[in-house]
Amino acid sequence: MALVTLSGVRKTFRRGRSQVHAVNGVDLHIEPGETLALIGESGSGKSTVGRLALGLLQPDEGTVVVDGHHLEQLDRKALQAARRNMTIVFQEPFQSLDPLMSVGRIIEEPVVIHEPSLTPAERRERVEDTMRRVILDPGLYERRPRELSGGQQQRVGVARAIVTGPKFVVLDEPTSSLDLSVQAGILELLANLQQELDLAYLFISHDIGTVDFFSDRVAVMYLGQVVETGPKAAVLDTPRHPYTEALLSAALSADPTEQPAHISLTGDIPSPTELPEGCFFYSRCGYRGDPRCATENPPLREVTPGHWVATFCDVGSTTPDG
Amino acid sequence: MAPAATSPPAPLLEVSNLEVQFRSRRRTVHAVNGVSFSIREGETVGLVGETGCGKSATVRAVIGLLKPPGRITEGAVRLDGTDLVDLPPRQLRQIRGASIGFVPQNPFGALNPVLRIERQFRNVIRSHRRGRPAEIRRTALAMLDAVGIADPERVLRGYAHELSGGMAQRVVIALAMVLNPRLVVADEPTTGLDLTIQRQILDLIRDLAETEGRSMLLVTHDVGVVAQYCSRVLVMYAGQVVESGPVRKVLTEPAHPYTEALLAAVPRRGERLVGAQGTVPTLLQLPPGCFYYDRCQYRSDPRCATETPALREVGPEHWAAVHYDIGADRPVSPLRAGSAPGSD
Amino acid sequence: MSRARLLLDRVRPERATTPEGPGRARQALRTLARGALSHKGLTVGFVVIVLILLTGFFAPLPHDPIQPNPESTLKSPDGTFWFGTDRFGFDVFSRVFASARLDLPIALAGTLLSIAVGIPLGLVASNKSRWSERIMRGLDMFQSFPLLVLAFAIVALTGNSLRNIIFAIALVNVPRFIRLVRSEALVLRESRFIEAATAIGASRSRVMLRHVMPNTMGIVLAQASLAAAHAIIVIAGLSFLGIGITPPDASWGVMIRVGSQNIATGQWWVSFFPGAMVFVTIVAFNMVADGVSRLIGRAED
Repeated sequence: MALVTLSGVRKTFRRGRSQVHAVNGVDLHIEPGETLALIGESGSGKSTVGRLALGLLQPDEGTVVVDGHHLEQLDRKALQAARRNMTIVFQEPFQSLDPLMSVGRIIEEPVVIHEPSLTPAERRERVEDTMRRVILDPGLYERRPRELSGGQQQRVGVARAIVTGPKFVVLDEPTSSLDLSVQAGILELLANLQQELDLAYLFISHDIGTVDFFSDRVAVMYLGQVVETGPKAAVLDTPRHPYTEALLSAALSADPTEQPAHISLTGDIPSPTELPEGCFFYSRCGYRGDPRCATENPPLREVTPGHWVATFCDVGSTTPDG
Repeated sequence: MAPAATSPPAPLLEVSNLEVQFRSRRRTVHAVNGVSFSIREGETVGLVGETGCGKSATVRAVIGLLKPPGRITEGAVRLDGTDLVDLPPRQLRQIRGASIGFVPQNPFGALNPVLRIERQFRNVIRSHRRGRPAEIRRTALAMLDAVGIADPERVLRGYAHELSGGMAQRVVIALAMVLNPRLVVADEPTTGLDLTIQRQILDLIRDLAETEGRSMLLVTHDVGVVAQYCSRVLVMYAGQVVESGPVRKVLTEPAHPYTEALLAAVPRRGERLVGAQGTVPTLLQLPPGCFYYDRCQYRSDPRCATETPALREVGPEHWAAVHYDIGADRPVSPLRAGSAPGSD
Repeated sequence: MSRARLLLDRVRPERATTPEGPGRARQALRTLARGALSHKGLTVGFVVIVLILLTGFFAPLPHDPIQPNPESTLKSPDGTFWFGTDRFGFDVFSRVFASARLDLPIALAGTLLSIAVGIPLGLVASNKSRWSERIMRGLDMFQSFPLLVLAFAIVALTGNSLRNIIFAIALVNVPRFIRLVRSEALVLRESRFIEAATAIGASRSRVMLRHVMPNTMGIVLAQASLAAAHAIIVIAGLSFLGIGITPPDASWGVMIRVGSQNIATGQWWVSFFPGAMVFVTIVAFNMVADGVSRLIGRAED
């Protein structure tokens, strides 16, 4: 039984007079203790999916089930209570911390909300334990976020997320604003915490390297849809969707002796205010050929066990002509 | 990848012993502390380092756009033999536009939001030579076409906010190249752009530099960008160049422990990550010995704590600021290193 | 970064309920002092206001400010009457300082009242609800009257008790606090840490009271200094028109009014010194406002 299940989720935002179709029919599931990486470029809807999975946004269509609760059916109070089990770590560590509160109070707040019966001393103990757990000196308890380094700030963000013992954490590009050496420490911490606390992660990222390091399964998003999903090795080593293939080939290897062929995509992602007909990737695809490509949106189909791809073409067997 | 020159031509840009300080009433930040390097004709040099390592200050000093209270307190920046440091602002502007093309990190910060793109081309061109509007327009159209903009007419008529991030960066590159500079300085030109767009922009910058035999200084925090697009690399730490050399050499057999740690922090499947240990010096008060001493796993030489190591040649064209040779002590290849958990 | 934020800790309502050591409070005060000192204008403005208040209440004045000296009327400044006397024989020097006893506390009380009303209404108005619409429309209607005239009319009609003067000052200033808090709250609600508070399960009232409100305090404080300066002018205006504080009670407005009849005949000192005092006080409040907003500005860099 999956811990998190999104089925047929759609979300549209109104921007002025136009409609932004951010998420267009997404199905995902995350098992307890596993990491699902959500890869995509800006405008792919990956952050919106993260917020939908936590009930921070309500879907226009579809269902979101976390730990047996249908989030879209919970009333406000019940949803607030359910947040004990599901949280988020943000991309911008500093902006996600209240500048007026001390580090200790920030980490303590979820405990105050969800475990009001604890005494101040018990809370303090919990906070200090959690700080040690994320390798943050409890001596920083009284400090303000701005007095900490970027890496320490993100450790505060992680501590706040795990202090109530959740089962599901959305990691929204948790290291993309950090330096490489600091990122390494945070990723390692997140990996260790997952083992210790049996956390399920939805790891939102645009960086193939961290995804490769960090995840169990991968879902690739394009224009609000999952175009490919499957076990990490299957998706990253044998991509079956032309977009995944191009995206992976755009990643820069840090090894100068390795120079993989780069499949250059032309043009930009189509505007989410006016969704194209047919396959959303049609305008940039080097494999289009099937007559359905221009008229029908391909559904996900299973190509190997657990590996799903939304195409009419077959990337594995043909070569691009674009 | 740019081909490494066989017989080294004369350096186009020569930076020697550059020092930049940011002084306020209460404190002085030593942002750049004696940086020397040179860029030859037609060469692409990467400048890599993490936040606060002084790479931006170095670049701003090179192009003469250091913002107060930052100022060059020592050293020289020679372009084709002319020292730019003490040049009067008027002359510096001439050189900057015509000989150095600058591509900044945020294209929207570089484009004027209230002027049509065409007007911005005209301003850039007119500040360096005369030209009739029709001729300038032709030049601009050709340049936009060269940077791969599909509908240059429409872009020329429009404003910056109508462009996507990738398009805006293309326009900025076109503006930087329109005066046919011999040196292109790109400061994190693709940070904030999507992966597929990043590749397009980097390919474009490289192609534009290669076809005209331009030199390029490419500033980045991304080891991958250096590995794939540069022929030589300078690694900066705490306002100093700690290692420089051919990319293939530096990234596979680093001679400085900082370079090694940086490479070990690149995430790879199935391998442990090594985070940084210790702290970066504050740059308010420079430490007496090696700036990397606090984080170094190799320190052993007594001079490490007392004497700041100078760059010394550790291989052909390969320089590192270390007192010892880390190659001998290295447990495994740095690209596959694994060791104790890190903290920040 | 935010020394102002630290400074604002003291205004945070929940601090009282959190057990925190005295050492921490002392540290906060020290940081506050250091932050204030780093901005000269803020320090100077603050010290001037405190000095005016202290001398008004505690300094030994050379003459009784509300006891006229009928034998020495309209004397020019000399060794006995440093700022001269008015036509009733009141000592201008003593009265200029004694006026601070009424003018400043009334101004501050009126400002505090307008903050106390403005913050909750501003926060409610920042929510998407019927109440938000009602408050904003009500405010539009209310502000379409000339507020200063309204305030004068209220005091004139209901009598010049201290309570009514304070109420009038609060009335004049409330709209700006509602609008300020509302617009600030609207910006804050889009910020990451507010989203983070929602994500950990904080209720809407908790998000408002613990996160949004404290973070509006910096800008409210800056605005409060301006409002206090405005209040000084309103009080002086009321007194000048004879509907606020009345003689023999000392007030700068009263003094200017009394002296205004003598300016034409050359006895400038009767109005000049209280006028100068109003000027100094307003400049001081403005310096505080400016300093606070600069500190917040730096905080958001």
